[in-house]
Amino acid sequence: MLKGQTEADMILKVPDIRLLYNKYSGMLLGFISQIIDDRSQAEQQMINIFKELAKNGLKNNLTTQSSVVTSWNELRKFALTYLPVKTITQPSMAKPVIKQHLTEQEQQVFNIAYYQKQSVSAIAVQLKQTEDSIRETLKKAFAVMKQNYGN
Amino acid sequence: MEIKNYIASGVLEAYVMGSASETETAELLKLKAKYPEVADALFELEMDLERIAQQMSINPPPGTLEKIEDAIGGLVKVEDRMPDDRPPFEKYEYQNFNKREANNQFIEVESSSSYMRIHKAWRWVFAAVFVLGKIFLGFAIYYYLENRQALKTIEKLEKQQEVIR
Repeated sequence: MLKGQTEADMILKVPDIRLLYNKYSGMLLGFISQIIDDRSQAEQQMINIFKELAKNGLKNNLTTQSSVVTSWNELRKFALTYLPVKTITQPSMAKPVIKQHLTEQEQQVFNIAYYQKQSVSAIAVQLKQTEDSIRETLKKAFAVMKQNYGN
Repeated sequence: MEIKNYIASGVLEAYVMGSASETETAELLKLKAKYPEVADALFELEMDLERIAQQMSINPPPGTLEKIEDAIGGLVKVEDRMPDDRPPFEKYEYQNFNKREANNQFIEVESSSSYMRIHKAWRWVFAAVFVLGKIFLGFAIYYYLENRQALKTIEKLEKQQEVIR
């Protein structure tokens, strides 16, 4: 514990888990449920991830760094470090309309990047494509989803 | 390099997904600092990802937040560095502890905080005890004054009786 700092002070300075929970818990549970089929296990994983987040917040607070997560994408990347790697062959994008608009390859590339955070080079090797074509596919997938989910 | 071509190359999407290489990331961060349009495009992509996640969200069951708060409630940080102004005995204990827990910086123990967490339902109990306490105090004061008045009256009557005799 740092000089002149009580435990209560430190706990209060942990990133506001309640705020993050209110904003992202639904998204996080939806995300985890795509990787872990069993709902109760997925819920337990979500609890563990928030707990790890609090630990990291506490650690960073003591080293005077900023909190670790400020956006959904940061939370997704953080969560992936605690989640098992699962090959998602059939994407389960919520709306069927998205599936209809995305080609099989676009779905595949997006899912590998989104749920496994694999590098472009690794995806290229896995799908036997060039890195440029993977980037291009990822870009197209984003464009299609933006069109369907965007404002 | 034309910045529009760079934005259209798909590197930004790869970076947002966490799939960009270290070289690509380093280059992108430089360009992000230099060109506001790159920063804007990245922000847009982050927002797109958030919208996608919202579409796939599943509401957690009630009580999940309480479970999380319980899980993080007992976290205690064990500081790596020992303040020099602590007594020697404390330093010794701390060093030994570090040997045992060298690979585990955090431990979960019951919190030694001076605060306690109780269920919200207790507030009604505390409110009832407070109100009852006030009522009993009121009665106590009332009967004390009543009793004192009665004693004075008796004393007065006794004096009158003596005068009559």
